[in-house]
Amino acid sequence: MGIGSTFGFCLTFDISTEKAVEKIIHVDGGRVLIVDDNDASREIIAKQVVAHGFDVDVEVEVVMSGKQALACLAKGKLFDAIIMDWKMPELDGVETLREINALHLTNSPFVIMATAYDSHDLENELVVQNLTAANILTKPFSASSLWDALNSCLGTVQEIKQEVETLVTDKQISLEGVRVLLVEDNQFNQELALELLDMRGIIADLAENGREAVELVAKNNNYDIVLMDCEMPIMDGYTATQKIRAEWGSELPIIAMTANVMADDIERAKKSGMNDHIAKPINFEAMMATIAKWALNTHNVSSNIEKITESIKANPVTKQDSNIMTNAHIDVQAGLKMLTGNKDLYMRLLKRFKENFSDSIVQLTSFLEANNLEEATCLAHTIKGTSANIGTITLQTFAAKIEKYCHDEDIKQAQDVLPDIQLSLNHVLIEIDNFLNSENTTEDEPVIQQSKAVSPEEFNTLVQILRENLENYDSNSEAAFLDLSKAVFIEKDKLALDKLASSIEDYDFEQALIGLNICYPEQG
Amino acid sequence: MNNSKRAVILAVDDAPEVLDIIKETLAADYDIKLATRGEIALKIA
Repeated sequence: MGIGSTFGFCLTFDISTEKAVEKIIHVDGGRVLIVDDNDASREIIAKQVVAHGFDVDVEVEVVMSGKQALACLAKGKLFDAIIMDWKMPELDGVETLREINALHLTNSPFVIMATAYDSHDLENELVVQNLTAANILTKPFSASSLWDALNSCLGTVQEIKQEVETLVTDKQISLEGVRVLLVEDNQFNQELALELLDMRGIIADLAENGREAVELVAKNNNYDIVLMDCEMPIMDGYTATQKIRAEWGSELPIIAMTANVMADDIERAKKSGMNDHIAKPINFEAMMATIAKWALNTHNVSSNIEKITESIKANPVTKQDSNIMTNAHIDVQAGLKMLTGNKDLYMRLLKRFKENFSDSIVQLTSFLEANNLEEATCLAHTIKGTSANIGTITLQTFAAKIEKYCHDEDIKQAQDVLPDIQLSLNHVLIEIDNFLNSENTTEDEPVIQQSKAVSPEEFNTLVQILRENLENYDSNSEAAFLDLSKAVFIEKDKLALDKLASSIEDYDFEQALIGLNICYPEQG
Repeated sequence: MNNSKRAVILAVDDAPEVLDIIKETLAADYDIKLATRGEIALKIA
């Protein structure tokens, strides 16, 4: 053997939610059109885009004028993003942008405007013309600020595609016929939300600001739920909510959609009369869960959980779906990565999760009902840590929320998360089952334990080895138990042996030792 | 390698899955003792 030591260690971290967002806007590629009259500038931008896109598939096309750009688009060429100079002869960037909008393209690209002049002047010009650019860059710009701007555009394209895919497969709850009033000023968010709501059969009306929202509620007061952006021009979401509450009371559920997830903002939303909130960027699973919670039944939360659970049971996930579903709620790759690819260990963690956490939300619910904040915090914390280990970010996020609310002694808020976390847990449990089943059938190992004939002396030795391991709290206890259980040919006491097995699995070696001594009393 | 010279590591965590991970990762190179509660850890140490 060589001389030297090898040290290895294993640290468990909670996955930050920031990371999750970052992952969503990971860019896989895209088509970019560069419009600039200056030869050198055009070349530099093209090089920067391509250079940064080394690991992604970015197609770049360059043109020298606004006219050429329009011709390109009019021919039906598709682009995800356009990087366009402002000051160009004939048609300048802003005019070109107006013409592009006038084309009414079905897949209209994001437009990033670039200028060597004052970017504020460009901004003003855009406002005057009533146009919006996805981003404004001041020349000369660094490769990284260009790439950031591109990422936010192309990333969003990826995000939509991804979310749409997930949601198509994710139809456990019927929200068909639910009537939603969407109040949102950002055009991109509008389109995305409306499309997703429509896919679930939800009937949605759109208000572009708070004033329109109040008018729409006045006109046809038959909405099941309002999704309310907080910061909007003309009238913000808080004011609109106050007006709706003053006029029509508190029956209509109003959900705040806000990028501010600070406690104060949530508090402000609540004060203005909103019932709940969804954080932005919107997690669509959370959005659907929130709609389900408030729109399906406005007064009884626990019956909602039942409803949701029932509908999941009524639509069991079929085997073919298992791969898609696995990707939807458990990130197997992330989970495996944390365990350096040890699949057996991962499977074991999944099994353990299923055994230990199936009823965890029921427990959590009763802790909260009994005002037992200490136990509730502790359980939420455990769920959070364990979900991180197996790679289920949604469940982890909900558990973290509950932990925080418990820590702040806000039982009401914590209870509000219960339907969400139950739903998320249900998904995860179904996926664990699917995953474990699919793994079992593919490997198909003969798990029938073959009893090995051993002499009484040998058998006693095995018992003694296990005993010593247990006495020393040694991690080999489990292996020793397996050896012993293979040698058990007479079913002594199945129940006692099972208990012994589960004590060892839970690393309760003291309890296991007691159990062992009951089965096989120490001799001499 | 001489078995008696292996370093001994005591891992204490109330979450058994954490002990799973530690055991799987380190058992090939170290003698591992496992405890799910602080009192047990004190007894072992």
